[in-house]
Amino acid sequence: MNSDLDVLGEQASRYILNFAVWDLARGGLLLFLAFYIVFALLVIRQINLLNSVVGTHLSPFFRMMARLHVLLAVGVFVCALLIL
Amino acid sequence: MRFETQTPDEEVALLLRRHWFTNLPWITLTLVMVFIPLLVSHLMAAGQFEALEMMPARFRLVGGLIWYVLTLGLAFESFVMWYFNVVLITNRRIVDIDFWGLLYKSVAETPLSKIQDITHKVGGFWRTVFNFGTIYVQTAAEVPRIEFNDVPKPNLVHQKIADLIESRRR
Repeated sequence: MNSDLDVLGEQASRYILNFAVWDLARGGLLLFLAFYIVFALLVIRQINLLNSVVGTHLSPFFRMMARLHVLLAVGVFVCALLIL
Repeated sequence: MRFETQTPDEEVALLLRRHWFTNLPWITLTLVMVFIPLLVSHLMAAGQFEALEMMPARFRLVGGLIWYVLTLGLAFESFVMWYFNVVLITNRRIVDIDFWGLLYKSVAETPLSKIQDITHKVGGFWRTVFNFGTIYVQTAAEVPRIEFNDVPKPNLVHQKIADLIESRRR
């Protein structure tokens, strides 16, 4: 009787521990991605600043890449939100 | 091309960036980062990465996506920093534009008429092989010395600046 309880307790604690670890990892990854989106938005601002200081024929390409970078960051955040 | 403080009668004679060779560290890092997930998946298929097998597949998928977005961000940021850190030599002045990090910039400039001395230095194995080095411009202006690091063909740049100063004096 006692050993049954022990096994049950062990399984429950393993389940809780497992759940907590991956839940924590999920939260950590989502937080990291949220910060990354802020960073990607700052990159857009940086590109605008750089283009205003030195404008070249590649300026539109940099603007497009910076926006694509934000879209990718947001896309990964949404994926993480849905998948995890 | 145009730059922020360019006057209507000012022409850019030379635009200098660091030699392409100085990009090698971040290009190598980017390539390594591209291949790491492929290597890891091969190792996992061969059963040599047990620690990662314990991770749920959905975390591995999201981890891979994050990894590639970071790789793209690193490569893009490094390229942009190389591309926009420039020295412009115009028919009137030298403008040194430096950017650090995300939102810091510094612009130093000196009129050609205030330049007192130009020297260049090429030292070390790679610099000698690929012919790039540092140019020092001593001035009588507010900024006493301007340095252009790792510029390609420093001897030609030196000559070009000297020619511009000479033609300005005439």
